[in-house]
Amino acid sequence: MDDRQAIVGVLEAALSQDPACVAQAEERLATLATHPNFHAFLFDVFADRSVPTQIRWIAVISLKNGIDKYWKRSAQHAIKLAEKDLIRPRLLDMLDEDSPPVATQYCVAVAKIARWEYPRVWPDFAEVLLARVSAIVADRASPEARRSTMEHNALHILHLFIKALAARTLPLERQKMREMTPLMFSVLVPIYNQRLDRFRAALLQAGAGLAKSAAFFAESLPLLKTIRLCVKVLRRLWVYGYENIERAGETALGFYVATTGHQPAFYDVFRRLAEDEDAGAAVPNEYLLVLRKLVLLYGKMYLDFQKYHAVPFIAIPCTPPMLRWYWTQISSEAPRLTVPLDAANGGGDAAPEPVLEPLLIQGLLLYKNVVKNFFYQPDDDGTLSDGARRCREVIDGEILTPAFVVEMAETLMFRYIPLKPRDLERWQDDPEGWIADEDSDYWSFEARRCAEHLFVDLVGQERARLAPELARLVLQGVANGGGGSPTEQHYRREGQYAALGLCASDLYDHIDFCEWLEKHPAADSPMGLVKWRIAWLIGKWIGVKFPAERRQQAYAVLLELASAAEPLIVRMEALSSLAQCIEDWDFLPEQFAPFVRPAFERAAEALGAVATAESRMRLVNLLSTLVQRMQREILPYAAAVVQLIPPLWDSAAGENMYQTAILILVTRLVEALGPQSTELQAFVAPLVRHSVDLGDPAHVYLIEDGVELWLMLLRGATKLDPSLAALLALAPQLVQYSSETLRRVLKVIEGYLLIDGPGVFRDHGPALVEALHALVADTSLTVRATAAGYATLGVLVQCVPVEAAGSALAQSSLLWTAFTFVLERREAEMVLAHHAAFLARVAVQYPALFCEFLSAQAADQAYSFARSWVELADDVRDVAQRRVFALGFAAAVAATTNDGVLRALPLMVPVWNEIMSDTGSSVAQCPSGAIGDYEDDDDDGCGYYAAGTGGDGGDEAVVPENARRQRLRAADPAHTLDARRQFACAMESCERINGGDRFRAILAQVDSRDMEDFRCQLS
Amino acid sequence: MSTPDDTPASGPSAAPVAAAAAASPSAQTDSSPPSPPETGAAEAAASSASSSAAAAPAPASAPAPAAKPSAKQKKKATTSTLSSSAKRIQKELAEISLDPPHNCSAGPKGDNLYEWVSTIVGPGDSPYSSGVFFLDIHFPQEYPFKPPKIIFRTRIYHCNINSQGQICLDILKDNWSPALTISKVLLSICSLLTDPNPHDPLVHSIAQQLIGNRKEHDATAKEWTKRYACC
Repeated sequence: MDDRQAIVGVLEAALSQDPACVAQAEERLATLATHPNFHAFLFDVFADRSVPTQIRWIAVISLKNGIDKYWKRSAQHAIKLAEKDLIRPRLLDMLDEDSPPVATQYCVAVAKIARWEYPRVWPDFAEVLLARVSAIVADRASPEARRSTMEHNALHILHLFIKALAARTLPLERQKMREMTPLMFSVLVPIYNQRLDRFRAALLQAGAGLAKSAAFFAESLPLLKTIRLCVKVLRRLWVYGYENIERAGETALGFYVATTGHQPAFYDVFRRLAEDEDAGAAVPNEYLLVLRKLVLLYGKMYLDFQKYHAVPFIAIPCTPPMLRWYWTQISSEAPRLTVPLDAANGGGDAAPEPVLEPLLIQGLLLYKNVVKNFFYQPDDDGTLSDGARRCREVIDGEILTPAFVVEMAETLMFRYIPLKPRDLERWQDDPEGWIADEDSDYWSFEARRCAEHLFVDLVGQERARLAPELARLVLQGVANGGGGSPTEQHYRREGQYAALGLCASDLYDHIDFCEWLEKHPAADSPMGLVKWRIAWLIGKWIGVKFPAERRQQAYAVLLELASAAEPLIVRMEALSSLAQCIEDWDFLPEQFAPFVRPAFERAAEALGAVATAESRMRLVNLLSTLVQRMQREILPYAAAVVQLIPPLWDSAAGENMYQTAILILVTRLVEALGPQSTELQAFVAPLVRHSVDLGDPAHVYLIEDGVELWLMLLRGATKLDPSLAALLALAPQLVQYSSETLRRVLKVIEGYLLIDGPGVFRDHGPALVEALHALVADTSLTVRATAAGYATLGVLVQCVPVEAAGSALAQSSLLWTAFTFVLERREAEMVLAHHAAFLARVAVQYPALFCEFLSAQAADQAYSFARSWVELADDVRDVAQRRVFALGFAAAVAATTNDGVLRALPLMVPVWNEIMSDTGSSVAQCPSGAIGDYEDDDDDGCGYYAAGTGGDGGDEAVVPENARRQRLRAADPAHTLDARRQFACAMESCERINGGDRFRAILAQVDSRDMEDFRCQLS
Repeated sequence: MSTPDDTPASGPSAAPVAAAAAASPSAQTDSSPPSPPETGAAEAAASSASSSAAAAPAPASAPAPAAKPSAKQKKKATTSTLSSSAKRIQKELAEISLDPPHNCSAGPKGDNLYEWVSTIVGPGDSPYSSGVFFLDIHFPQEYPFKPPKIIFRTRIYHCNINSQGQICLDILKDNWSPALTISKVLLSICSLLTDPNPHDPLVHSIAQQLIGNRKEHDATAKEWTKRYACC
């Protein structure tokens, strides 16, 4: 009992006004929650009516949270079974809880327990609850208030329980749900019907004075609540409880069919009450709320039913009348939507809103799902399944008759789709927010956008019938379209324009947009509505049908609309249509050239005017598309673009997507500028540093684009700006960072070495060598990683003279690693070939260093190594690479006295012979450099080609780095050295340092035919 | 020595020369030793040719074998990158004219051998059937060691082809191999039309539609083909 008192004390403390006290109490409760029997105590507290309501409320909330966290068997500090057994039997005793907040929490708590326990631990929960419900309903003894409270609570628990059960997907739960569905229907439907009858009686009694009759409200509210709860439960059972609707029982089917009549009735009551001006305050808010939710609930049931049981939905005969009823509401409410624009602007009395807009949205969605649905259409080979055929008959015959389809199209077009006053208000208050909403996916929450989707689907499905009709409607002059007030004319025109744009691809054959555009200039209108539409229309049609010759007209119109004098919304729309024009197939840079300057100026102005990051991102994307498509034409404007960037970058701090967009813009700009981009280096270096620095948290988002930019900058560079050179310090870390960026990072390092090998090596050499060494020595990586690493090392060795690199190389044990790999031959030959090739390259570039290294090895090891080395040369197919090997062998032999190496000489001679016979003295300009050239700089090459400059490969020379690579290849000793002379000299010097006798002894080991061959080749 | 004539280590031009050498009896004068076995199977085949040629009683008179190798080497030494790629392209042009792949045709635009235009007829089992699509092909100087650049010039609704006509195809980038010819590449493009790859798309919206609503995607593709690729 003491414990209990303590707990009550803590609960009381949690209710106090003092935040510190509350925090402490909550902590205490959290620790207590892990103690045994705590939750049982909480339930006791809750069950004890003598305790004040507030405390009971806190108790039941804590209980609910506890159930969430600890009821599950596998939870940490799970509630023990014994404790659960204490709680469970008494759970349903509190159904007469009348304080609403406490009751709600109690119901949720019970439902949560049921969710964990049913059906495995507490299999008869459902029946027990249902039995209770029946008992309560049948109970005449208790007073009405108590009875109805118990009823509501029980039904509420049932609703939450079914809701949770419907969402569970394991077979056992689904089967249980299906089993219990008929039972539930048989208990609940009578209750529903009974309450409904009583409601009708009350309604009749209240008669005309409905809105003022307080007695009516008092009596019918509990009825409504019960009805609503019943529907809540039954709607889920109806949709999820029957796998095959055809097998549903009479009761269930009867219920469903009846609801199609009940919904309109309730809606009428709602409308009467909502519209009655005199009623005003007499109608309790709660009443209207419940009524409204009830009406919408029926609609939710229909939508779910249609979604999960598409074919039965149509097949049931009550559906066409139900859909027609919805359509009646849609068309009758339509006039309320098209209000005069100035009335809305005048403020004061708000424009009349539709009575229940969500209902209209439900109707539109139902129709949309009927118009375009996978289940109602023929299969790929044109055959209809039986169900689909029946549905099609019903749909074509009753629901979507030809006359009705035209009527629907007109209503949507002239009433629902045009932009309304509230949209125009938003244009003034928050244009960028409006644009963002238009692009979002939440179309099913707004009537206008729903209507647009329905319209597009309708026209798409019924194109043959509707398109000519639609074309006629659209082209009808506004004046002859049936007079009417300026408002009506305005909406007609709006509707025409909107339909023209929405169904552009369907109207392709019927309308020539270019002509239309000429006849309909962007006239002025309130808040630029027409101008906005024109800009929007051009964006829609440019991708569909807009001949290339006439495009300049479109560009001119758009740029005019984007000028600073127009409202922001019009400018944004014009610029985004312009972006679509530029991205299009038939975009020709020459055609657009006169418009580039205005386009830039407009975009720059707009950038200054917008407030949100999203809009700025849009504009940045426009600029980068423009730069990419215009390629070299962008040169005169490059300076202007560059000036735009620093303020953008500053304003983008923290907005990662926006920063990425800016990086892409800069990358494309650098690419387009080619060699001129060298001037931008100082400016771009900080951007790259920010994106690539692993210590900066933003790098996670920016690193890929940052490395791209870095690479592009290096490729176009003609010299190295100090800020750019300093960036190389970040590279070694990046080599280890991830495999996705690795290739690019290695290319970056190569880029640096190609521009200024010795200088770069002086500052960063040792770190780079270490990083690359770690890369190639790591046997867990794939061959491609090793190959790429060695390719970079190869470039390093070729670009940096031995004086600079020699000591670093020797210290880093790079040679030793490669040597060991080749010696031990534990890896696959493909991998070993790369190690061997690298050693050959080092031998050719740094002969002295290599020989020193080799001579330092023990003779046996050296011999095994050399033998392995020569064998691996066979695995290399590429001719240039084999030359490197052969020259490497020659270099090794030329300066060594190591017995092991010399013993391998006989194996080398055939290789030399072969090289001499295949390739002669030298091979000029062999295209590839390394084994398996993994160069992928051609990805970017596409950009050059797309500019259509043609020419026979002249484009590629524009990239300075390609020229540097070609020079490197040209200078490669493998090509420039005369093989014969090299081999001859090698033999001579070998003889010289080893002494004639020894040399002859070695030569005697060589196969005589090989020797003959060799001598012949040399002579 | 006989070995130079028998070693077709690289280049297609070596083969006819070797064949010619094997045919001409005058080549194998000295006791033509078979080439050492280490230098590859190709040579083993050639060396058997040479030994069989040597077996046949060949007249002893022959030009100094050293002259022949140098003559051949001279031919190879003057081969520069420029015309080696041109030779390869010419060979492919001949091959594609004589034996074009199904539904494709290709040829140089004008005088420039490195700029071709190609026509693909949409494969029959794809929504692009009966559409005629034009492509531009540009061969780089280092062809065949670098892949050709191919872009579509006709509008097409495909998730791996974007609005600039660029194609996302692996063999045109990383998986390029010098063994591929332009007719094989065109065939790959045709098969890409039949089976788009939505998991590596250039146009995300089209790829989404392909995965989610195939029927609609095919319908739109058919429509675009009818409108833009059929005249």
